[in-house]
Amino acid sequence: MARQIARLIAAGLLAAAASVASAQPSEKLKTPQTPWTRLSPEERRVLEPVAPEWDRMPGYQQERLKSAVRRYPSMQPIQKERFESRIRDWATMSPQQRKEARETFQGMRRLPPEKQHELRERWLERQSQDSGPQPRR
Amino acid sequence: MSDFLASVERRGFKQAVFAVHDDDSAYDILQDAMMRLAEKYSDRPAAELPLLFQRILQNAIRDYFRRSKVRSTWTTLLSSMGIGQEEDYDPLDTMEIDDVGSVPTSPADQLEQGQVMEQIEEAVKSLPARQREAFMLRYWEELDVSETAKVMGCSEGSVKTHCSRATHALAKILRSKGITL
Amino acid sequence: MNEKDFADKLKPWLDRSAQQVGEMQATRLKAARLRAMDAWREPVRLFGLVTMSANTAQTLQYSVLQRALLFVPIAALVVFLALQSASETDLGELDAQLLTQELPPDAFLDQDFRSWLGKSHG
Repeated sequence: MARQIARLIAAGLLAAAASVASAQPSEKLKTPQTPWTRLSPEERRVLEPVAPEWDRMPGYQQERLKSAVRRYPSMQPIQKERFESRIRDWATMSPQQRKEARETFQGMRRLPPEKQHELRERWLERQSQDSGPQPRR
Repeated sequence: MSDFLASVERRGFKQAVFAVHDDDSAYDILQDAMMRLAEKYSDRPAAELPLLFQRILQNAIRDYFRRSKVRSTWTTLLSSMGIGQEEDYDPLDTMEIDDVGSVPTSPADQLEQGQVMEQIEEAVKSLPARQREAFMLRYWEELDVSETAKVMGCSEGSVKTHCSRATHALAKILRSKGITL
Repeated sequence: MNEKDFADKLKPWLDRSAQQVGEMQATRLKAARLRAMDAWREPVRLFGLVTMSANTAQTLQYSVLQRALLFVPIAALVVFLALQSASETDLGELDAQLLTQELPPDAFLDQDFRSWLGKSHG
């Protein structure tokens, strides 16, 4: 009980801290763009799904994608697969949508593992009902 | 770092389970060890991570025993002080183990694999802490004698002694359960 | 059978026992790893540290208030470091994690999902 209260207080303070942190202009206004042709062959290969949009993206978004792609070599095979299949949808979301998705994602990760698990299962369960017996995405 | 952790998390977890006999505590210990590694040693080359991780993990397990009042504490203390080693064979010597000839050659003949696994896990859990630590590091994590000594903070001679006792104790227990490997 | 031979025969069993941790444990282990990875490089990194401190604190025989007070300096540090590192932190790491975990990004925009999440936190 005492531990829960302590955690609650900590969580409250951290939520405040996190909101202050996210209020920082992390996506700077004038990040220079990188033309598609200036990307490395590896970057171009992984970013292939977003190639048509690349040159129209703002610099900060390009930087963020490039930075995510730097993790690619160390991903597990299943993670690579997910990354490839999701990056296009991700890139075409509005900045506001991406921001909200990140916040929700971080919120989920703050839950204890059992609750994260429950939440995932619940959502996947509902998806499979909504869309019939399809493999999980 | 993430790959490294993924590659060791299950074994690390099991090591902690064998030591503390409780999944939840083992999970906390592992989390603690991972956090310490990630926080303090993110700049270390990948080749150094296995040894660092083992050192942190074993320390975390020892910390757990220091903090908690569980019954194993005295065993840990005694064995780390090098006394009470006779204890190791006490429960075993009372068992009938001489009838090796009747032991089935294949574990599957006698027991379901799951049961064999369970017996092995129980046997590992029953080892005195230092013996288990030495055995796990040396033969499961495949560290060499000097690495194991560094992680355990003892001499290479002690490592060999602990390993040898652990091996004999395990062999004895398993044989007494009718398991040959 | 000498020591080494015996150990070699036991090792596959131990390996298998590690492989056979339940789904629940596997999820917990993965979550533990992700938390550790937060500590590794992200602005929210200190979350894990605080969780750890909570565990440590639990073992001390402190009153609730004392325990709560324990977090004040840590929280102050969190705010300070978060502010300091927010601009330079590599945000791509977060996106990479988001894109590679089990749920598709759509889930995090789903109203139901968000309300479940809110309740879980409550």
